[in-house]
Amino acid sequence: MTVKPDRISQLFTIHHDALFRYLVRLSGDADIAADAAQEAFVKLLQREPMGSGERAWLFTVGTNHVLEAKRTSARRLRLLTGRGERTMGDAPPDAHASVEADERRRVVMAALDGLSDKERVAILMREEGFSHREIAGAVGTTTGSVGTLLARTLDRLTRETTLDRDAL
Amino acid sequence: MSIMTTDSHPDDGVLLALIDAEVDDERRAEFDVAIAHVPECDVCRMRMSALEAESDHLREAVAMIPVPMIADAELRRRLSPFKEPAAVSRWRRPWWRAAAAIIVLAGAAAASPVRHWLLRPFEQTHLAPAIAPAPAAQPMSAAVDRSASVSFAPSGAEFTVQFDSVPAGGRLLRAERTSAATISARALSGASADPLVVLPGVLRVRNASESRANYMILLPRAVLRLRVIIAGDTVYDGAPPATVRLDRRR
Repeated sequence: MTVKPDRISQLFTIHHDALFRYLVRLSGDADIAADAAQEAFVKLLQREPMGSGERAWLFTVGTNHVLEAKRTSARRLRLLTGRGERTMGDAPPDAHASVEADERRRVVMAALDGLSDKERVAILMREEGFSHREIAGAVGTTTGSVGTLLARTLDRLTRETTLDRDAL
Repeated sequence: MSIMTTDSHPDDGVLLALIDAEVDDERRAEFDVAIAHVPECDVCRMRMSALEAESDHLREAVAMIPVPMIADAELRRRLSPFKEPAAVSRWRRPWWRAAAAIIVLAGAAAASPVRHWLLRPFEQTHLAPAIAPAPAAQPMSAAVDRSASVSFAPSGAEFTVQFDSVPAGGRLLRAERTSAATISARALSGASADPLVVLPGVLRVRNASESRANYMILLPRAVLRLRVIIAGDTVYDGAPPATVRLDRRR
C-alpha cells in the first residue's frame, strides 16, 4: 500500500514551498533544489504510509538528493550570479543597495558553502523549525549531540560572516 | 553523558537545547541541573545570550538568500524530459495517473514546477471531461478557453473556496446547486486560468492579483454552507446559491 493521493495532495500544499526554500539554501542552486523537491514527492508517492513523520522524511530525501547532486556538480553559488531572476523577496530600492545586498548574500553563501554537509543540513533544518531529534535522524547522529553541532556551527558562521563583512 | 553539578557550566550543546526548548527525557537530569545553574551564572547567561544573538544573525543571513520563482521558460525546460517516450510511458501507469489527478488541476499559469510537472500528463488526457456542464449564466458566460476544472466528492456540509489574492476588478464566483453528488468547479477565462488545489472541505485557488478568471462552482444539496475567503478575508459565509464579487472585501 502506498501513501494515499489525497494525503500527498495535502503534504504537497503544506510542505512544498518550505522544502524548496530549504533546498535552495542548502544547495545554492534552484535547479538542483527543484529537482530534489520533485524527487522527494515522487518517492513519497511510491512508499508506504508513515504516519506523522512525512515532513522530516521529505526534507531528508530532498537533502540526500541535493548532497548527491552536489557530489557530481560544481554549480553551487550559481544563485549569486543569477541577477535578473525573479525572486520571492522585494527588489532592493536602488543600485547601491542592490550591490551591497549581493555582496552580503555572497558572504552568507560562501560561509554556508564552507560548512560540512552535516553542519549545513543541521543549521538549515533548524531554521525550518525541525526538532533536534528530526535533525539527528537526517544527519545520522544522536539527539544529544545535535545541540553541540548546532552551537559549533553557529559560532563558525557568525565568525566567518562577521569577519568577511568587516573586511569589506 | 557528562556529569555536571550546579557548580560547573553546561556545555554549548545543552545551552542551545535550552534555547530551542529541546529538553528530552533521556537527559532530563542533566537539563534540570542546567536549568538550576544558568540563572545564577553570569558566564552561562552571557553565553546563552551570545548563542541567541548568533541564531538571530543566522536567521537574518539565511533570509537574504534568494529563493527564485521558476519562470515559465524554465518550467518548459524542466518539463521537457517528460515529453520523451520513456517518461511518457511512466505516466501511463494507472496508479501514477491516479495520484497525479488528485494532486492538483492547474491552468496555464501554474506557478510550481513540481505541481506543473505532476499535472501535465493528467491534464492532457483527463481535464476536459472532469466536470459536469456548467449552466449558461450571466455574467459568467465568458468564453471558456483553457479553463481549469475539477470535480470531487464533498467532505461535509460546509465547503470553503479560498482565493490567494484579490483579483482584478469585475471578477465573480458563482455558486449554484446541482443534483449531482459531487462538487464541480471551473475557472472561466478567455486568457488563462489559475491553479485549483483540492483539499478536504476546501478548494484553494492559487490566483494572482492580475488574474482575469471568473469561477463557477456547482454544489450538491449536501453542502449547506459556503464560505468564500479572499486573501485571508471572509467575504461570504452562508447558504448557496450565491454570486460573490472577488474584488471586494467585506
